[in-house]
Amino acid sequence: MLEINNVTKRYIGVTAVKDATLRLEDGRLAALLGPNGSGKTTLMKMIAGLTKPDGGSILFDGVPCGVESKKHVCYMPTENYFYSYMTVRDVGRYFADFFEDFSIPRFEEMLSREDLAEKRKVRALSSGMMAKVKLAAAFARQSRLTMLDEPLNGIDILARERTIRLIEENRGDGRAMIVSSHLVDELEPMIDTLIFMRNGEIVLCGDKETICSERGKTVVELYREIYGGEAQADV
Amino acid sequence: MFKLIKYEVRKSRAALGILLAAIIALEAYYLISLSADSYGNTVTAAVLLAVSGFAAAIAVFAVGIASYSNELKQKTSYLIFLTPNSSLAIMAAKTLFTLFAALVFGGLLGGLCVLDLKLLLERYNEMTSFYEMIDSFLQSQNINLSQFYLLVGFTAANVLVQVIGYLVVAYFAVTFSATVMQQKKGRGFVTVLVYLLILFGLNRLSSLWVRGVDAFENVRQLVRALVPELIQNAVVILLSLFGSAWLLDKKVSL
Repeated sequence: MLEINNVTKRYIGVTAVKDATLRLEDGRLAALLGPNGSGKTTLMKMIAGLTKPDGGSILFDGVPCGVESKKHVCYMPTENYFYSYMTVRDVGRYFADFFEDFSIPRFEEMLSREDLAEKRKVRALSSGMMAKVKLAAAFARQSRLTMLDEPLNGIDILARERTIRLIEENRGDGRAMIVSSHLVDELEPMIDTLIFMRNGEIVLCGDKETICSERGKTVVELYREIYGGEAQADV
Repeated sequence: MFKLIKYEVRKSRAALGILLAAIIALEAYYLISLSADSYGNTVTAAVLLAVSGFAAAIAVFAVGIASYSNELKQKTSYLIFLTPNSSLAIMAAKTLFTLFAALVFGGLLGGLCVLDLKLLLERYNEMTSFYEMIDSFLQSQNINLSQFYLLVGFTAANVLVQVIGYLVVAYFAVTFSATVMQQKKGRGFVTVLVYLLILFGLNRLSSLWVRGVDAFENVRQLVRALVPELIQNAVVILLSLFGSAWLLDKKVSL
């Protein structure tokens, strides 16, 4: 489904992603792991088409990412990216206007499950509520590839549990998912594929079971081994 | 494309609403002054309405550029650029929205101008001499009514295309700044410089095409003299749109 070949992205004085290569098949849930500044967000933004690589190629179903792939790829950024005039209901309408795979009833169902009033302005939402709206918008789509950038950041423990439950509910059926996080232990049970990034490079990538059994370590232990003293893993 | 334009309208509706409210308030001031037979206030309101026409043009222009510039700086750009629309469609939607806003406000102000002039002439009979003066001027220039309408229509179209041209060149300069110059210092200065240089170059170019405008003998000659400039502006619009879309496709980094 997704093929990344020798992708590089440079910013002023820093290479955010360096010669990254990976494959992701249908139905897999990949954890994109690494400390802040390791290139996770840049890599996802390039897959989503928000940032263009300086080198290499990103293919979706064998075709370079572009207008066609955007129909099937969903990216949930860490930040609030909605227009300030929008209400929660407007967010649903916006997505329904542009994405054929978006379901308004499903969006409404997720909002009511989270007790979110549709009339509320998004700019007035707390960070926890904003996270819920973003997740509802992402999971109301039946996109073939869903990318969630730090979905567990800035939310309380109960919201985290609900988010993890949502991720569990929405995986499978041939739909792939990439979840970036540095909260490794909470993601560990559901991960199929591991992608460890450090200083813009993919330092370890592959099937979780294979990697863990070959190295005789859990994902958390691998995280500690790879990042050691350079990053404080929130595990 | 229609959906993109719809959201352009929604994003800018507060700014456009304020502009509309200001025009309505001025028109109310004019009508009340006219009905109260207050000549001084009527003239003041008429002048303010005329000024508001220029202000509206500048505001629509500024709203269009500010909206696009913000789009490329803020995270809200994700909303647009994550949708399955080409960069060209996104740029075209922004331009069409500005054209739409210009036509709405231009039509509104033009309609008010005709209405207000009619009311003024009805109220103050001595003003009819002004009307007659224009009539005799047009006759002295051998301009009949149909030619007059052609002249007005063509001039309006030419001004509109020129203003849209300025806007789309501004879009190109903003895109250049946000893509090629994104990681460079002084990009704001370079953006303004690129914009001014392009406009200077275009003015020099149009001076090569547009000749004899001051010495026309009839309206058709004037129209023919201005056609090359109209074509030039249309080409500039297309080149700027395609150029901006190409830069976004190749270099965007949101």
